Amino acid sequence: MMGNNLDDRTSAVMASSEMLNIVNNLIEVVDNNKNSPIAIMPLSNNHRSAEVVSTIASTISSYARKVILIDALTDGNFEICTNGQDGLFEYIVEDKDLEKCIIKNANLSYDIMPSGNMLNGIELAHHADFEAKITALYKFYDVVFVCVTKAFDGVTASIANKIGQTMIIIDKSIDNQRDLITSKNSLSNFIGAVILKSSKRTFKQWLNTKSK
Amino acid sequence: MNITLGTLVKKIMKKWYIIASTILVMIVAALIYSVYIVDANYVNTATATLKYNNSVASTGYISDADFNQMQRLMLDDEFNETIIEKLGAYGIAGLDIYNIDLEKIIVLKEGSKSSLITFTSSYSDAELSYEILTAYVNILQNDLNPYNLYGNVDVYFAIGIIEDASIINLNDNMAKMLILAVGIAIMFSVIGLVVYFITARNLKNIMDFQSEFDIKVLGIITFDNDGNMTCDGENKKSVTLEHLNNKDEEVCHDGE
Repeated sequence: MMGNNLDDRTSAVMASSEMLNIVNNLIEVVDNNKNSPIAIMPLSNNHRSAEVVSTIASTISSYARKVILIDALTDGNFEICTNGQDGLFEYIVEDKDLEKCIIKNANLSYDIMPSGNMLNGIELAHHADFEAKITALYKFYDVVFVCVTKAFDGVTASIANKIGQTMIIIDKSIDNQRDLITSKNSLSNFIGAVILKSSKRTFKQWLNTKSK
Repeated sequence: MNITLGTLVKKIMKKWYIIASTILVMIVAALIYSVYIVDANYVNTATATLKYNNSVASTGYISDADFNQMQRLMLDDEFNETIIEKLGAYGIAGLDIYNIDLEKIIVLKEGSKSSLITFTSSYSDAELSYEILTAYVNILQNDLNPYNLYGNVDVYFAIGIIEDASIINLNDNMAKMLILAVGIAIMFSVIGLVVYFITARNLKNIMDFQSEFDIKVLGIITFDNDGNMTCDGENKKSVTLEHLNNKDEEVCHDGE
């Protein structure tokens, strides 16, 4: 296995029981589909989505799974997959070798491949060897998350479908219900949705929210 | 979303206030319509006894054949024209006798033992209604006694008391209108609720949503005003990773 031993990492992550439900669902998916990456698609570019992605990765790693989080589409949204902690990382970019693109951080229990820009400025998702490179990661990891961080559109959906199974994270979209349905219909292998909402709002209120 | 009849009835019963308010609105509308929009109708009633050869029919009842003859007579154009001419001669003030539909104003009904035939006059003016009926029965009794219907048999009417006019749309039409309004209100509110409950997507929780759209929700993460993840809803607890394998020890650390 690549990366630091779990014992060397911080594992005191606080997770709500709802988060554990999410993680249990994902682990079931992972265990049933070995060597199949999971695309994570936050529909909103915000800190809450970033925090959830980070927590999911942390929590799954605490289940003795080696996790890597790949930021497939940077485009200024790097923070979503790294939860704004990119400044803490020691970038190791010695050459195009895959291993050398991976960032490790003692404060996190998972590894990060931050962006395609590290591969000669080409977004990872558009790299010719994208799928092969991801597959190669299974030599080192149990769980490969590919974070597709652009707003949901046809291009993003096609990339997610190329990756394979996809989960979405939906927070405050223009039309929550519509976007959930659109996501489900656009993604060929849709795992499910993680919903982020204010504690003041009921699920029904959230579902019927439409931004003007 | 599947819904059983029992569930549907319960759901409708829970919305009783919608049905009640619809009934109330319809009653008010019916009252306004009856009192302010529709002209009041006033009715007068006169009774007549049909006599054969100066004696009351031996049975005490008017026969069907005699009654039918009377009805046909009242619908006869020539007879009515004669009546109208004579009504005109009465010169009832305020009544344009040649522009009224006498067949609709005067109605003949079978009477009881003591009133073998009943004439009623309904008109929008109480006084005119009374005068029309008075003139009508006087004409029948004195000028147009329809003995010719029976050949040479002496048949005539003994006209009884003409009752006082009464406002029938308050006593009769309004009651019918109110019953109709209540019936329509119940029917449409219930039909509306049935359609609503059958077609509405009643998405109260995740289970409803998932079954409706076949979209799996992996979980709902809630945040407080400060943007921190919180414990929420049914899962009022969170755990540290040290407790992952021992759910009995789950403790909510919300707010820490």
